[in-house]
Amino acid sequence: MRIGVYKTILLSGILINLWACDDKPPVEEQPLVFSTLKASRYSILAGDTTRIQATASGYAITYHWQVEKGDLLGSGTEVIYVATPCTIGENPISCTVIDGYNRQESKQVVITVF
Amino acid sequence: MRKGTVLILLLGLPQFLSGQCFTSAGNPVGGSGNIGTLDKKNLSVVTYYQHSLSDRYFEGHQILDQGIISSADFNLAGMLLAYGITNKLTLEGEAGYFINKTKHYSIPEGFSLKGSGFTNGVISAKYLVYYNPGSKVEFSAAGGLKFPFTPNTQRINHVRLPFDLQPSTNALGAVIQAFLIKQHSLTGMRYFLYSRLEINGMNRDGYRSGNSLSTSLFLSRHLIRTSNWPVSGTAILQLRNELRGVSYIFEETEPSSGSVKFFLSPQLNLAFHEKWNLSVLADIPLYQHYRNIQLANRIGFSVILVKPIEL
Repeated sequence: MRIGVYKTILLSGILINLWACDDKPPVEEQPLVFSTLKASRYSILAGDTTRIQATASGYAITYHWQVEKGDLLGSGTEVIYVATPCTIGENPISCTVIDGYNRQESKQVVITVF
Repeated sequence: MRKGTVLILLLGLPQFLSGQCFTSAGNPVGGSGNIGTLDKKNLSVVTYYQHSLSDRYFEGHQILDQGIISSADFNLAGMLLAYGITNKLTLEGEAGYFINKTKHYSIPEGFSLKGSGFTNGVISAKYLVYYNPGSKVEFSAAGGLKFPFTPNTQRINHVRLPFDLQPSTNALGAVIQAFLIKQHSLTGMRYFLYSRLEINGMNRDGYRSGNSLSTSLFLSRHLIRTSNWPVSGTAILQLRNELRGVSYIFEETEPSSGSVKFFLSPQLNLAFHEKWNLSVLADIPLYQHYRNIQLANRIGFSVILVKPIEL
């Protein structure tokens, strides 16, 4: 009987510890700061590439990229923009940074393709 | 009575996606379908596999030097189910799955981008408009709904794939088809004329694939007609024209979209005990004309397996 009680207490303790170790954000929220979005070259020829780099800080941030015309290679803080033949003109590339609190900030760079 | 027309042909059809700079590898140049309607309570199960390769750029109808994409290819598996509600009305459902849609880039880093997933589905009703048993002429027409399995575009590691690598249009659309069949009993020759119009809507990301019209002329002839043999064969030659309209991003014209293509597709169809049909087909581009610069078709092939079932 007594052993059963001890087991229950022990099991409860383990469960509480597991719950406490759950991947929760820190109590003190880190601010989300999206500092810069830069391209290595802002004007390129069709068939060429340029690197786009995002700098941000915050809790568990992810980088979400998209472009209407042309292709983006890679992921995370840096992508390569590929100017496929249909991209002649101005091409806005947007990057949205989302943190672990689901807050988000977006920036855009425009690559001109000749 | 019309079982002879339930021959499965590889039709120059479903443009699951009209790509921007990359129409070919993003667009199956064939699919499978029944020619004509099925008899009442007949079910036809069609499965197919397609491969297509594009590795050259065209500007207009001129081949250009190698571009930034060295090659693109897709592998697609699909299924079509058809059921004869009455002798005049057949219901059809079709869908496919892109095992891959891949672009390989000729840049020092050597990247490639790959999409995969379900194509649009199509549900359609086909009606036998005219059938003359004397002259063996048959005309049927079909109309249907093209729908996406998801409205969301595909992202890999939080980066949206180019529209031409998306496995579906992510938008609703419509499909209209017409079939004209003429048979010659004495010579064993059959002639088919098939047209398919696909109209695409705009997806959530503002992209609207160009509409397409595909028209195919088929000539078919029996090769083996011996009752002792468990296998009968049919040779089919298809000449296909594909017109693809321009695509739009937020109603702005996509500069490198829209094309006119002609394909020659030789096909061999084998029927085993009249219970299973196996077809192999090659897609050979005869003439291609693209609006501005686009990646163009090189070659494609398909394998189709068909099981007709009488319920």
